Amino acid sequence: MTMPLRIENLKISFGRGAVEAVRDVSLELRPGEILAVVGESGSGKSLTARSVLKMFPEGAIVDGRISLTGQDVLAASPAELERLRGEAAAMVFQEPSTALNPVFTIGWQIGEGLKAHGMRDRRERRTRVIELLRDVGIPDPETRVDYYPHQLSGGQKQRVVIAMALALRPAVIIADEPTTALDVTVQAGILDLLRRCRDELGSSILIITHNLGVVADLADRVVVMYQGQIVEEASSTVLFSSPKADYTRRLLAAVPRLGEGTAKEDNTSRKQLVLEADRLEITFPGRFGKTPVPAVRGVSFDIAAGEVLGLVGESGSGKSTIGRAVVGISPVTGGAMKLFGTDLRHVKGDRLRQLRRRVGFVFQDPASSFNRFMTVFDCIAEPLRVHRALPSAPALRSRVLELLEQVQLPRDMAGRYPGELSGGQRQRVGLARALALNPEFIVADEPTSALDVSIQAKVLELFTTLQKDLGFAALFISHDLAVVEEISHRVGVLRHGELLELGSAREVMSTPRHDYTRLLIDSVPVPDPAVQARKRADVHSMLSL
Amino acid sequence: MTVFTNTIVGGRGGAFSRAMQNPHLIFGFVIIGCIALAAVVLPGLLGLDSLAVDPLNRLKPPSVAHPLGTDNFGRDLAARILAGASTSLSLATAVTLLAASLGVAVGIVASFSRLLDHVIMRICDGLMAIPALLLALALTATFGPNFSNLVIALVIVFVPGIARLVRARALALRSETFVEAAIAVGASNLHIMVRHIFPNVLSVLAVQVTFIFAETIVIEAALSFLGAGVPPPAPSWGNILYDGKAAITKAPYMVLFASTAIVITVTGLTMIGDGLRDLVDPRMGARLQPGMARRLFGLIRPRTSEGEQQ
Amino acid sequence: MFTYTLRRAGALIPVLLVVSIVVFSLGWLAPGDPARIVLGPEALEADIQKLRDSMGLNETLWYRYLDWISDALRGDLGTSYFLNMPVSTAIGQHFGPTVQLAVLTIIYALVISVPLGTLAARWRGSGFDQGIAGFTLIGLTFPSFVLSLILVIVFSVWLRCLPVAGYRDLFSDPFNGLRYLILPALSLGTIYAALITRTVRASVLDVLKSEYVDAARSRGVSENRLLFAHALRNAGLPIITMIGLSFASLLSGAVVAESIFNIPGIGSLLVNAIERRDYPVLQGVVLFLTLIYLGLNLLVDLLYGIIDPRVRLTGTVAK
Repeated sequence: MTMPLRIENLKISFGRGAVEAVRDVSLELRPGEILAVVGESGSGKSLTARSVLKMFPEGAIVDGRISLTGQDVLAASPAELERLRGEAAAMVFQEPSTALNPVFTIGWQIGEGLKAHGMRDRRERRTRVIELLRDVGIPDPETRVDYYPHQLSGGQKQRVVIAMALALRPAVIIADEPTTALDVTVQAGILDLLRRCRDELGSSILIITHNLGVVADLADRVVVMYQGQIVEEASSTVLFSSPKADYTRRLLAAVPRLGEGTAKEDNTSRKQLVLEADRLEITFPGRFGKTPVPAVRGVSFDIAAGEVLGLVGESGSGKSTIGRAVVGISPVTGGAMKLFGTDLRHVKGDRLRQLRRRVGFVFQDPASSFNRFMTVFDCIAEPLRVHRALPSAPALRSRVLELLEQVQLPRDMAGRYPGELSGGQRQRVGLARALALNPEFIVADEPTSALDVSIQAKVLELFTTLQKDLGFAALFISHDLAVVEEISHRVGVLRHGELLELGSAREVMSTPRHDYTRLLIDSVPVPDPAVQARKRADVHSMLSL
Repeated sequence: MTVFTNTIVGGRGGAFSRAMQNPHLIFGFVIIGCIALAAVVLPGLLGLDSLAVDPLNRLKPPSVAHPLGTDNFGRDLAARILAGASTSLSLATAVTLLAASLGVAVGIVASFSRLLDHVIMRICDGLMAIPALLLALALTATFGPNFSNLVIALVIVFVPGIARLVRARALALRSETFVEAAIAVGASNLHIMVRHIFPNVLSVLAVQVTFIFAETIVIEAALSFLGAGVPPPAPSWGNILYDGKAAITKAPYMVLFASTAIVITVTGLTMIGDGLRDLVDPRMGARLQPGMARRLFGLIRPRTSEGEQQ
Repeated sequence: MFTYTLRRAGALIPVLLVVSIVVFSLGWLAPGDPARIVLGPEALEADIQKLRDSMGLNETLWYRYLDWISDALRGDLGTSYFLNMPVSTAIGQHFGPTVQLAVLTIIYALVISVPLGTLAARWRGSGFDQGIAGFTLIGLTFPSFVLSLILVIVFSVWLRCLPVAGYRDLFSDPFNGLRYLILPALSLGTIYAALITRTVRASVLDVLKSEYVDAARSRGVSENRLLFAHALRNAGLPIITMIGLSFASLLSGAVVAESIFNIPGIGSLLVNAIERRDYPVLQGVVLFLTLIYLGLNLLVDLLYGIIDPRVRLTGTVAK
């Protein structure tokens, strides 16, 4: 029997063999199976997936054998290749907004694949496209078929991309991080759709992901890749219960798990409040001819000295806006926001700067939050210099070195430029910069969302340790429930600019009061196939209510 | 996720050594350096006089006495082309320095205040709507053609473009995370301007300035050629072309030699500009901007607010 | 789309205001008394005063500007000092040759650049691509007036196959008209051909690298279709901008070419006006060419709207 897909000894290298991105990878996809390829960035998993359709970046040197429904892909002629693409295997991309051509309607783009494979009649194509859109759960497909991509939401766009992949009923669907760009509640829907593709159409699916929760939710078998090599291959249940390879074990340990965060007794007194938000409103002025958009509506919370408050929400929930308002980058337009007892609406100039001195800010993307013309030393020293906090150059120097030590970076990092560091190292520098003035309060805006899981785990650990040692209060903003649970004393849940729920981390995660919180918690796939299957059933019953 | 090489090479560290690895940059500098050196040293060394008229030896082809021949007044063409080089280079230097400093000042001031920004940018839009060559022509025609008026006219032509570029860059930088980080730390506006905005603007400016240098040389030649530039008998490449055009059937070498001088200079500057651009931002070289192309094109094309869309 | 059109057009108002002020000040800054220029050096003082009155020169500057702009809005750009006719009539008479030259030039540039640029992108890195890169570099480093002189030397002086200079109307005498316009169009068009080639190549490459082309490829769409359906349509935006701007700038670029080849177009009108200090003509021509440029620019903006549904449907340019 021929396998839908078999990869044998695939090697991909760049720069005349200088960089080996994929080393000797062999795997096979069985009929009706969902196989997950897991790895962190740089593991070569995406390259492996794309090679199935012979889509390599420029300058790639490829060796090995890929057989797709019995045909050798790497040796195929251009005409054969065009036939294989779409008919034998189709692809679902990570970022649906770039995978769709903005200047054509979605109907035209789905139809293009059909036309390329011989469906000439226009009306027949249109009927088939509408049918496909209905299958993937696009409401009112007769109208939406004439929509342009920008008129659809992110989740809908990904459904359209899947519809394109399904158009010719390919034997193999390759999904390259299909849910990474989506919110967690939307992700659940897309994962369901992929499962249906297998169950109802019998497609075999190769899914590439870095998210072990997604793997547990969907995959029958798992291949773990690390630095271009396969380190482990096992069935999903076996992998999660008894991982063999060292790397797999480390990876599993690094994933923050929902509901397993260590209980933190809340021994902070609420006498001394660092931040108070009282019916906070933040509205951005509309651009010419447009109505202003409220980003935050009537949000009230407070943070006591030494306490960590986590704010969770999906994109557009206003969580980052609140964080930025604390240091006055976003304007407070209604209600009150008191920082150290001073209402931010009524301070300006020097007094505002003095308030900012007592707050540290850690940004989401460590790559862009540093001026590339400044060394690490200058970056960390900047707050000290701005506020003339230290009397002499030697004092400044020793303080910066002390900070580097605190965030566990070697001293010789000081002379390097931020661009020369890895993502994790840069985020440590970001932490050092935030700590420079010994702030009483730190705002961390998605500080780990740009990092790989194993690096995220280390940065979170560092953050927790520093928080315990230095005792600062913190506002920790994230889209990741598990991360927030692990790090905060109390948790607030935001949706569309409103605070739905606020309570101790334990309370909110174990006995959520609001339906949305429950949906959010249940949508997060857990890296344990058995538990995840139960959870999925819960979500289904919830959604059908 | 694919292999993510996101290394940005540091600014000061090894800028010089990277410059030395950039053949365009080195070659460009060598060309321009040689021309400048020749323009300064050779006339004195060889005792060339660009204004000495010799009615008996008019329009003579190249010979030992006159290596590039003589023009329609019997003046030595080599002397005139060298003198033209020093006219062009000194004009370009003056225009570039003045326009750059004025443009940076205006651009940074505009990025500070909303009201001023609106007023200044509308004025820049208006000035840029008039094609550069046309504006330069109209201004020199109005002011009267001489060296300093030419400088004034060209500065007026180039300042709006630089101001727009600097302002657009400054505004873009203001929404960058690292500037927000500085604001969050409590840094003052002045600190942000000096430490964060200025160094980042400077790199783009360096590229722009090279292109303006080249443009000035071409525009000067065009203006002189049309009779609105450096007034004759002063030597300038445009004037030589003008005289050469009248004698094009008898002495085509006049036009050929002057053209060669212009083309070599522009090529040298193009190389410097392209090289600088690669040096400043390796990503930009691969992007859509045809750099020099666009700049040269801007000579006759009216400029829009393209800097903003970056 | 309608609001989009209105907004784009509305944005031109402040620009036009500044342009009008600049153009008006050209006449005001000019040395010499216009009345004296018109009447010549031997005129009587009384006559000069009378003419000054009738020309409105004794009014305040503010009043003169309003007067000038309201005339200009009605299409009255004043009277030439030397041509004995209204400036607008003079521009009308000289516009034909310039348009003929510009159209011929842009056709030449397009015929060369679009196929070359697309093919260079298709076979990037090949010998063909390198050749194109060389051609564009040469095209860009030769200023058009230098190129025209060199072309004259080669074709008219050495080969003697084309006339040195002159003009015949293209419509009444197509063969000779074309013979006279070939060299000007070649010299003027090469820089645009090079520019548009580069733009086409770069934008087609940009699109070919995008993920939606990969996505279409993964659906089995052929390479040729990718190139012509996806790449050219998406790359159309920057290409159309470049073409629109080229055409607009051609009209002013023609100034130099016309004076070299003695073509009686707008450019010759302008150069003669400068020589004779005929300021109303100078002002009129500058204003006229600027307006044409702005008009074409607006047209390009509107074309954007037609090509890009994001612009058409929401009225904003998505990032």
